[in-house]
Amino acid sequence: MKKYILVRLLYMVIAIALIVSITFLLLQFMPGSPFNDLQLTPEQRVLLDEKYGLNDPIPVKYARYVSNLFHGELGTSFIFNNQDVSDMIAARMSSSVRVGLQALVCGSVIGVLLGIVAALKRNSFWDHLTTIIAVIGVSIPAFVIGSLMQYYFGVKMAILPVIYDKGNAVSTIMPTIALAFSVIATTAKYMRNELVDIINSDYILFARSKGLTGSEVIIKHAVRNALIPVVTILGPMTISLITGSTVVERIFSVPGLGNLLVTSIQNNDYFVILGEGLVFSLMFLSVVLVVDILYGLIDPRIRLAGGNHNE
Amino acid sequence: MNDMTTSVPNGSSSCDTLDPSKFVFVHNDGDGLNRMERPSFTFWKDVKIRLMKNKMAMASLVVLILLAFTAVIAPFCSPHQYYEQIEPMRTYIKLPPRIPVLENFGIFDGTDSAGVDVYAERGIEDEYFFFGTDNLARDQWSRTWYGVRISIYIGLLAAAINLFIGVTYGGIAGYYGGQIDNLMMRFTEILGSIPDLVVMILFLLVFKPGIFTMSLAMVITSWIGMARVTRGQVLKIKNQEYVMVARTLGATPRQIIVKHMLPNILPTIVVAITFNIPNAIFYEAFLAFIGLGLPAPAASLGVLINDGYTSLRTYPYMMLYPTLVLSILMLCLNLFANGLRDAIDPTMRDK
Amino acid sequence: MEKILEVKGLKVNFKTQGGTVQAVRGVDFDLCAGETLAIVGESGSGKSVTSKAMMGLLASNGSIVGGSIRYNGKEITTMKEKEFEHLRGRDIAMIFQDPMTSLNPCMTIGHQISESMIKHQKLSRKQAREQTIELMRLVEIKDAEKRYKQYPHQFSGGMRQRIVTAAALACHPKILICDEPTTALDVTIQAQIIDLIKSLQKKLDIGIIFITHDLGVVANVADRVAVMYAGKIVEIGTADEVFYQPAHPYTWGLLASMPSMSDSKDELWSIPGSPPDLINPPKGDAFAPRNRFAMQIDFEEEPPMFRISDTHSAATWLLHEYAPKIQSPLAELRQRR
Repeated sequence: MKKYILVRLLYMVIAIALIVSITFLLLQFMPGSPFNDLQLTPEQRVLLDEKYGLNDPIPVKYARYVSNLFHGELGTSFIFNNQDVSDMIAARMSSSVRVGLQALVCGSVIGVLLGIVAALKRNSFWDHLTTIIAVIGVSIPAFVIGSLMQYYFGVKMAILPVIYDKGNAVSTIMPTIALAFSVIATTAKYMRNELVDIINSDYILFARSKGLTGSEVIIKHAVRNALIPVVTILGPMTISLITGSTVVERIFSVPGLGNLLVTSIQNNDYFVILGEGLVFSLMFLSVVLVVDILYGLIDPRIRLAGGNHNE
Repeated sequence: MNDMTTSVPNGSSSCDTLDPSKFVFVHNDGDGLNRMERPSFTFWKDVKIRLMKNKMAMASLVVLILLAFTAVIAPFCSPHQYYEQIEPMRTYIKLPPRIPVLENFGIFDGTDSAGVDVYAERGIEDEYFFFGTDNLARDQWSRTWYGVRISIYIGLLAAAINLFIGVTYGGIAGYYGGQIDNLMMRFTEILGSIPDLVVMILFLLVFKPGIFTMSLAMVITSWIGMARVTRGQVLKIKNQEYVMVARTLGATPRQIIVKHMLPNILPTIVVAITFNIPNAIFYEAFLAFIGLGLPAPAASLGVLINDGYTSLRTYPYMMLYPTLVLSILMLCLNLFANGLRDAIDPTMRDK
Repeated sequence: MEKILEVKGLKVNFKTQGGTVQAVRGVDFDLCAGETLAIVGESGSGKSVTSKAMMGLLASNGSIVGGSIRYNGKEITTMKEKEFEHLRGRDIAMIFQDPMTSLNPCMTIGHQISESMIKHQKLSRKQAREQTIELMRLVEIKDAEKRYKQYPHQFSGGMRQRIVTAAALACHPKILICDEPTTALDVTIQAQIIDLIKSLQKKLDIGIIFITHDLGVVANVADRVAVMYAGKIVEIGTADEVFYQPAHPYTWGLLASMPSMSDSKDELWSIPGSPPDLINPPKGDAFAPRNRFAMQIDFEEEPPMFRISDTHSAATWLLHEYAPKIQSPLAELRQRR
């Protein structure tokens, strides 16, 4: 287990190094990047030179860049009044995390329940519903769902606030649903398949042959076991939440990371784009690492012999 | 103790009706065996039959063919090109949809959300724009179907590049195995641990969005999935006896790959590729929506939706039709891919 | 001896995409207390389905469409699921083929063994734990107390089958159905498990139905043997009768294809072809197309069970008085050796 985590950590470090190097190369050589953009004001040039030493040889610049990153400095936004990128990201973190977590929790609870019902009552209404949601979840982009919801519930029927407002919990409903859709789809489908596999497995038959009732077998043996691997889709789910958040935040004007990313892409605000890229990668990598460790802790097949608590 | 044999003992009366002449051995050298077997189909024939039985998949296929057909002929149904800004712009800007015949039923009759007949107001009552016009006075109908072409094209191109890179990479890793495989897979693991979104955005920052660069951007991360699938299949087949036999009999790697591996990994790859096309279309639309779409005047569905979104509240139809077409396209592609997967691997059907 | 299980005319169908599969097409047998009946047949002969029908554990697309199964005189095919649950594990227990997959990988083995005790005998956790550890010693698992808390993946295949056996015997059932309990194990472990089952049978006086495709195993365990083919019992008798005076050509085929029986140089007999399609069972004797001794009548009429002795009968027209008299090719083989 220890070795496993160390290997995972090593991968994480390599992946981060890779992203950092790529972003540096982009800054260095891409036409129009702050490092070689001629349209910067003299004042901005001075600022850049101070931080990155624009005239230093490349390796020195790279070292400076990396050390700046280690100090949490992601650069400066030249579009928004020379604001510090780290500050900008930090300020927008809470809204994104809030909507994202809400979507994650609601989505996975609904998804798990739907998946269980679908697996237990195969070919029933709920099963077909799950299939339909799963297909729609991968077919219809979040921005379509989001903007349609906004138009009908927000503009036409005016029953929900059109835009996000930090102080108003009701205003988070629509962005949460728009984001949760893909989470529900993924979780429900995964849970259903996992559970169907388990229900058809020998150990369920054996458990039934011991005389346990149907519900005892389902709860104690099937659902419990099916829930364990569901943890592993948290990684891919983070990706889809990050991806979805960019468009959903744009639609509902959530002052979050996704919205910031869209604005900076439209304005070619390089430091912000690269900084967000780094933050997103870091978020994803940490989730994957945590999931790996968590999975190792809760699945006895991976857990090391000895010290086990649940009897 | 065991009296369960309820049937007749030797030579009882009920047997007397039997014809003694039938108690002769028939020459039985196994000819009768074939008679009993069900007709055997080749694999792909079987797949075809299973696919035909899947109503959802077949309906999707029909809709897809219709969409593709419309995308081909639609521009001929409109006198205006997708890039053409119709002059005078003031007259032709942001017209609501209007379709002959249907206009008599109160839909597609050229009235805006306030109920005003815009066509009459601007004195162009003899003209029809099926999906209306956009904020640069371009015909939305032509643009939408042109967009379908672009989106499908990007989907197919991405899938093709994906196929080429993924299968080659996965094939090499699986076929050679050992240290090479180990190294190659470690690399995909590291690459795979960077979010797709980040990779795509960075890529498109360097290579500005265009049809080819967009397709490449989709492939940059998605080939990993294809490579893993291929590698898994190759590894599985490599260790099967008939391949070992072929190898010991001196077949060259080329022969083994072409004759034994390809036919066997093909089904899995076909399934992976059919899921790849809607995926690429999805990401294209998504990237367009966050501002990394094709530059004007080229228009994919994503670009149209993004343009329409900016005036959603006042001119909802500008976003509605491209969105509808995209959703139908995506749904059908996914449903068809699902059906194909079930047909190719029936054990997946129940899942 | 007292009969504890009687099966009469059992028929089981499965609905599949391709049509209705008649997996079991009228099976009769019975079982006495403390006796071992082996049911032998190829895969697809309906032997596993028969055993699952006795446990009331048919897959959801399968159903009993005819016949009866009586346990201690009580009909169980029409029992409600609730009632059946009291029977399962307490009176009739089952061991499955693959010990690697028949244990829940995420539950301690102690918990899995004690489950049915807590359920049926209403024991407290502590009592159940004590009994479980005793049971684990009975099936010869060393360090029972320590291993009680371990998970299945920490055990070898043979050990897992011991655990499965312990779990099945937890409530001292009257009948134990063993569905190919040794097929997935290697040969030395096979022998150990069979010895274990035999000794437990003696200690606990259990009636065992032993399902297998391997006649070699049968010779070691069975008092009586039933041979199944295409959903029917084609021959049934005591182990000696079936081994030394087999009457059905299919039994001949099975016996001849046993490694110890056939000549190492030229194999006397192997059964050509594959079992028939049970969606459209063939007319007449289902074995006829693969039978070298098939007669015209075999393709037209289904043979009834012909009684050979009080305990021995077989379903083949060769036993009819009109049939040409032939000697079992096995006898010839035996003489040659």
